[in-house]
Amino acid sequence: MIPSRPQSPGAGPGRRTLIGGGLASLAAAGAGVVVGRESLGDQSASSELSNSAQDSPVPAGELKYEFYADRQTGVAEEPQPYATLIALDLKDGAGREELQRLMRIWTDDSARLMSGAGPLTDQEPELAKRTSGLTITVGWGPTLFAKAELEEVQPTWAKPLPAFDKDSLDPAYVGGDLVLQIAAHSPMTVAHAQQELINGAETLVDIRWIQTGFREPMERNGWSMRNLFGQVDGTVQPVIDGMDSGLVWQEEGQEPGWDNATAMVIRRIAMDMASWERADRPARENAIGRDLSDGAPITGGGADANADLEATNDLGLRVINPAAHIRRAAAVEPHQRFLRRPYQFHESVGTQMQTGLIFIAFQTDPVRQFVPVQQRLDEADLLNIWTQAVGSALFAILPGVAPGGYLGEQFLEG
Amino acid sequence: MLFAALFAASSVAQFTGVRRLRAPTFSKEIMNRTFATLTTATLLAFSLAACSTDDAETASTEAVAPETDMSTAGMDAALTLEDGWVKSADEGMTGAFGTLTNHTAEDIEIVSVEADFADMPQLHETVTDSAGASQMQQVDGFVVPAEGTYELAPGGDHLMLMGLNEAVESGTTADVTLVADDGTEWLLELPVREFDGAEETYDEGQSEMNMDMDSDEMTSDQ
Repeated sequence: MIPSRPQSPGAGPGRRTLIGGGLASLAAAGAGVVVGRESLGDQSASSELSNSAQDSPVPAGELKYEFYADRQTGVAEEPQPYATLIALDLKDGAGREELQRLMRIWTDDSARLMSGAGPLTDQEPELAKRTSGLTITVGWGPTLFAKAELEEVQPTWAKPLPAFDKDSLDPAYVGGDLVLQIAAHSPMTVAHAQQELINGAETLVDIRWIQTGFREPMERNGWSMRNLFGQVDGTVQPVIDGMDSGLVWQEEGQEPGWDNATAMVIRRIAMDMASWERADRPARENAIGRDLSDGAPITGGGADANADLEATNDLGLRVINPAAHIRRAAAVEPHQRFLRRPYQFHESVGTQMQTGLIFIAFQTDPVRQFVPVQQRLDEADLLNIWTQAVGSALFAILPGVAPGGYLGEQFLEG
Repeated sequence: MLFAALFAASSVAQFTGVRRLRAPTFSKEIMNRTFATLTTATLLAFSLAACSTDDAETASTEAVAPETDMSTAGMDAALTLEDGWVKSADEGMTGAFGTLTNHTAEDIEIVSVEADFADMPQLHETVTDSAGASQMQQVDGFVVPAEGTYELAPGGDHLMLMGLNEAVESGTTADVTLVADDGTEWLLELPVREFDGAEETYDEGQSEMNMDMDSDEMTSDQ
């Protein structure tokens, strides 16, 4: 999905940052605020990404994000090239007490893993040393709240997404009581963290689905990436640390206890590579409304230019097709925007490959932001010829936590 | 780590007379109280902790000074258990692990372990027998060398907690008390975690054999 306004998500000094050294780490831990290399050094409100790993003098393998902060990581950080998403269900009969125990374990394990130490029970702590910008993000699914007797604190938007006509959902990739998003610059780091987080929770949860994704690791395009259709995706994003922060992060008073939370939509979108191969380049560019070479709108300008949705050609026809993806996905209300942080998948099933996109979007209220856009795409989008959603899930990403606390504590204590 | 160090000055009045080692776990209430009791002792404890802990905030289990006697705070930080934890178990037996760290210039000898949830807690070492197999056996004590550490690990020396009278559940904490040869006690509040390793420790046949052997040893000791 490619909304129409060219903006970069990272801008101001308030952006979450990389922790470069022990002192910064200590300060952040003690005060419960994020202080780090980037925010100390870069006070300019540039439209450039301020936490780009490419710009950082810290080698990718040594990047560290601080776990203990107001907001969880894995949302506002520049997308790392490797990610695993795991949906889990509480074991039959498990409830609030088991959830509380799980949150304590995952909080401690995540903080240790992100700091470069293994969890307490880690038998391969050497694999935890290279943090590689590891982020671990924990969320609760709509089905969790009743099981844990937490209906009273369930956000109004924390409900399953509505059905979309064009979806062909495989139950194996739908829903979940809980989600873990594990992302890093190294697939080894991701794999080890995954192993540890699951090992430590085996008696409390069952795995519902696992999705593993990647982005091009050799090119640092910040938030945009090329997908395996060759399209540049993610060029246009809300300015999450500036004017659009309220589009991604829950603000005070929206839902008690959920300040600094966000809603995560995960859609597994199959890409039909065989039929895409039969489409010529002009047809491909027409379908999306962007030039394939640099991702610029076909109405001209650079990659960051606004698409001219009204432009017509000599015949009086619209240059950007009425059903082009960027037209259908464009926000028709200012709030119909969200932060996209997708990954590609390309996996073997026997001798065949399954290829597609793990669409991940973060927003304050998916009912107001994501759903109307998806309804338009469901109604008409040329890309639907080659793509189909096969998985769908929504999770409430918990607010961050200060040292000594645990994720979800505000809902689980007392 | 800062948090862990602040914990060192936290006051736990009900444990006066007992040196309390406490894992900085999950209570905001305790954290808030900690900030209210900042003293010189805090700084002392912090400097000690700074020598030995790593980046993980919850890594260290620190000695806690009794509220009524802050003068002993420095002494109470004499022994810490870094990264301490207990393996979860529904019944039977389990173990506790971590790195004992002696911050004093004198050796500290731990001679016994106590836990309300285990009827038969023991100090165990693991040795390799002539056939190359690991064997556990009870020992009289662990000597934590002056300014040194003593590793308690799966497959190595550990606190053996047999005769569980209740389940020890992951994600909770378990209280374990260490007793030194001079009678000093340290109460540890340790996080409980699932763990698939340390199987040899819990092998039924092995454990029965060890328990028999241990009983014999205990008899002969007395």
